[in-house]
Amino acid sequence: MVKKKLLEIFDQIFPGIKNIEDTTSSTDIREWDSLRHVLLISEVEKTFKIRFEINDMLQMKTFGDICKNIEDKISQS
Amino acid sequence: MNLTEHTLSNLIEFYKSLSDQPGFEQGVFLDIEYVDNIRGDWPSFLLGGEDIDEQKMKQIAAKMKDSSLPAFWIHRDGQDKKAFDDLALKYGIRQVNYWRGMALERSKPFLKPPPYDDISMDRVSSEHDVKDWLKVVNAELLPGKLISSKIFRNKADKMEFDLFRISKGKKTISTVLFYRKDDLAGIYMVSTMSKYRGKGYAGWLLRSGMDYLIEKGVNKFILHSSILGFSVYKSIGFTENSSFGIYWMLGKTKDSHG
Repeated sequence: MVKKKLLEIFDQIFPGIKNIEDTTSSTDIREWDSLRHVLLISEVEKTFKIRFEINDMLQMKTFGDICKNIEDKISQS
Repeated sequence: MNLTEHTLSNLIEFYKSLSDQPGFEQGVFLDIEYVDNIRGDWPSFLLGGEDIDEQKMKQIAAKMKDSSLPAFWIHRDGQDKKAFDDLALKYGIRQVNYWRGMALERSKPFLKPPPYDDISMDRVSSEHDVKDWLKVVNAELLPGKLISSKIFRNKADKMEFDLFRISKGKKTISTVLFYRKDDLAGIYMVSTMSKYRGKGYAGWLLRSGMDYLIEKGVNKFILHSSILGFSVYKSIGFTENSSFGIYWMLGKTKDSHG
């Protein structure tokens, strides 16, 4: 469920990018720069009604990292 | 003024000094100073600001949105950072990074030998060398934000600016800039090409640059460390005295100006 929603957010922020896997990172998606990363995380927060600290945000490097952090946040709430 | 205050004031003076030339705007909105590179990305920042209540935040956000203020804001954390962050986020302004404000008082040179014998250090002043120096800064420090050498063209030989680099052969591999005010210098633009990191170059360049300034009478140093540089600065003796958040009006870029 989390993964499916996150894929939808990726599609919104990085339209047209396919074959996203847990290991997909900014080195695989040219458009994934530091500002798009912030937009991505902000969209994740809105969708899942969670909030990341700045350190969490800076440490999430891959699709899988984001997915795991969302699941952790949801389980804590 | 104590070192913590200098850590903020030197930062503001540095950006104001860089943008004191055609193509830039400077000003104050409420109690917040700002510099804006009209045609480029950098530097364009709101700088500082205290006691930001909801009314002020609303006004600032509106001006960021309509591009009459820069979209980035360097703000020193206050006692209630969470309240500031929540209020900023309510108006679409989000923290995107942070720096630790650090300082060191020192009047005795380090006199450390270079970590390897195939490198050399020099003070950069010619236009050609400034361009080389900026290539490393642009590639390693501000990817995507190309700093024009025009910004530094008239600064590198000015009294208050000292630019240094390490070269390996003819290749510039590490950079630092000191912005001097009386007996205090702020340290900026510390960068090392990624393939040369972890060899002690940046620490040596920093100590050697500080030695040069200590000889000129500087005895206080401040800097703003990203997460990457913290351990290097700590090993030199810098201690943390404050923290700064870098905030962004979500989605606002020069390209999205109306």
